[in-house]
Amino acid sequence: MNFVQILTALALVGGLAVLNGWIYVKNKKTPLPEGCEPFRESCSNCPAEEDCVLKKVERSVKQ
Amino acid sequence: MNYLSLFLNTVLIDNVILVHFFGFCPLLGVTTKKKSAFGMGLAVIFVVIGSSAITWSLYRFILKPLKLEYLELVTFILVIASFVQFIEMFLKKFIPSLYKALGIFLPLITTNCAVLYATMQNISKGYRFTETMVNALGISVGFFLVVYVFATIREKLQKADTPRSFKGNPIALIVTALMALAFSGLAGLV
Repeated sequence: MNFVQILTALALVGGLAVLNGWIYVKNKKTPLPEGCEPFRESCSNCPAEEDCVLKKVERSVKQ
Repeated sequence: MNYLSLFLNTVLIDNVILVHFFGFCPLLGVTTKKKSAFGMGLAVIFVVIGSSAITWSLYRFILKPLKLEYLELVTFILVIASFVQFIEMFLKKFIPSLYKALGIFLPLITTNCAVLYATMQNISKGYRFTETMVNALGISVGFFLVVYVFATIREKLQKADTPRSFKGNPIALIVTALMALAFSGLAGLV
């Protein structure tokens, strides 16, 4: 393995990591659609509502 | 290569969950309701096919010519994570209705090893692009099939008179084992 190959490998992995980070930040900044609040905070109109409610019920029963 | 036999093989005989035991976490976590399982299955189909196309191209046009095949695992993980993030962002912005249907499942798929298994198997078996797409479709449809069938069984089990010590994951794992046995009977079909 020569120096150029090592540099190429580092550039490729580094580039993909930067791309991943950039997309992650952009995704976090993108606002959620209307009527779809964060799943962890409340059970809103989103599809995970049933599971969210079920888990809340399970937690309250355990307490 | 017979595409139909490849597809049927990956869906039924060489099933990603029941034979290779990849994707067990979503199998146990997202199958308490049929609706969740359906959404998860659809999201996995979409992500596996998309990421298989991208990773195959990455390997064929960048990693192999530059003799960087050893970077396969790291680059594929990064590509899959980026792809899932991008899909989530795209759906949030342009197709909110689809995001509402599949939204919660997309971040879960990033850690789903069935996706990485599909992308790496395409390379290890030396498939061409069309074979890669058929293989990816087969793996993801096989995943969807098992997850959905398992969810229907679990919904029934919730209403059944299961012994207390077996409720929840213990009975779920027993059902999984029985399903794996049933699917193993299909060996030799294709």
